[in-house]
Amino acid sequence: LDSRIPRLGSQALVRLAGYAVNDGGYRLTNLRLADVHFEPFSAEYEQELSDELVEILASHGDREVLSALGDEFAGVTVIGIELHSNESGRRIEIRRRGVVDTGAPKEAEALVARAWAAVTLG
Amino acid sequence: MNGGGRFLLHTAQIAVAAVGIVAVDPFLEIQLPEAPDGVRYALSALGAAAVLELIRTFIAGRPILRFEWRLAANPEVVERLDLKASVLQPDSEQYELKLHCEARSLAASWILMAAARQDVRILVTTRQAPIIPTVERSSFEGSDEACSFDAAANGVIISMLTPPRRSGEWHTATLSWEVRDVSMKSETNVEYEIQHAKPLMRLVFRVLIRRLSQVKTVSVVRK
Repeated sequence: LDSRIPRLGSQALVRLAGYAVNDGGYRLTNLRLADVHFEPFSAEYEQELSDELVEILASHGDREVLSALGDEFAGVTVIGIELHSNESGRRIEIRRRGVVDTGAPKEAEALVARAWAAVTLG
Repeated sequence: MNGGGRFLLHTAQIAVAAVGIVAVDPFLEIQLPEAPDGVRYALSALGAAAVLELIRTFIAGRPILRFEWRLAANPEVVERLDLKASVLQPDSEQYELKLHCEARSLAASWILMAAARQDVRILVTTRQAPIIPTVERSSFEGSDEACSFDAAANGVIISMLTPPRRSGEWHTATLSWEVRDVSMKSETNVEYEIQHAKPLMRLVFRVLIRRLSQVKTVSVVRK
């Protein structure tokens, strides 16, 4: 089994987003969300939830987002994060199992490597 | 504890009770000179059994870690994990794992404190099965998550962090599994192991800490 591919479940994605915002020079602009069966929400509802969680992360940090996911946002699963670099303005989307969608792959790789060393992403 | 260990423990308990009966009998003979021998022996046996039980429960009882599983957002405890997945949707639904700790004796509390100090961890694994767990959420203390993925063991590691002062819920984690082979037909064992870098410590804590769970196997159900 090639189980060394990063899992990047909800917990790790939120921690990665927290690292990117606090130490990595990025803005969190969106969260990709699904329910506990990994079924998508409607686009409007997903956007509404994402906006609220992005706001919680910006004002209270990633721990508060994780608490919220176990409480008032129970049943919501984070399946991806969308970041924008403060410096280059480039967009990086990171999803479960380390799938990266970006025009700046080296930048994304460097961010994930730094976050991997700094926080638990398991 | 295995059958041999249980036999030895019960034998030791009976031996201690027999010594207790013999030791208490002269005292009862003075206190109850009129009582027949049978009544005195019965009273001695009851007293010795009660004292033994008190010692076993409140002083020498081992800690128990109880692993309870539920489907996420469902209050009912499940007895088996059926991972529903398909080739197009390989992620199973999510299960919540609650780790309860029962430490009703002084010894149990000390054992848990010692385990936490020695950085003992608990591994929940399905070994070589073609299913890989993902931690969706877990309880945490400060900046430390209780639960994280362990690639080498194809499981999740639960850190003890701070043991609770009394029996009750300790850690929670929500997990899903990526099913790599949806045609997996046989059930796979779920193992709950005590982990430590030193083999001797691992052995000691495996003997001292009981692990109980109704969920012993996991299987894959094609969606």
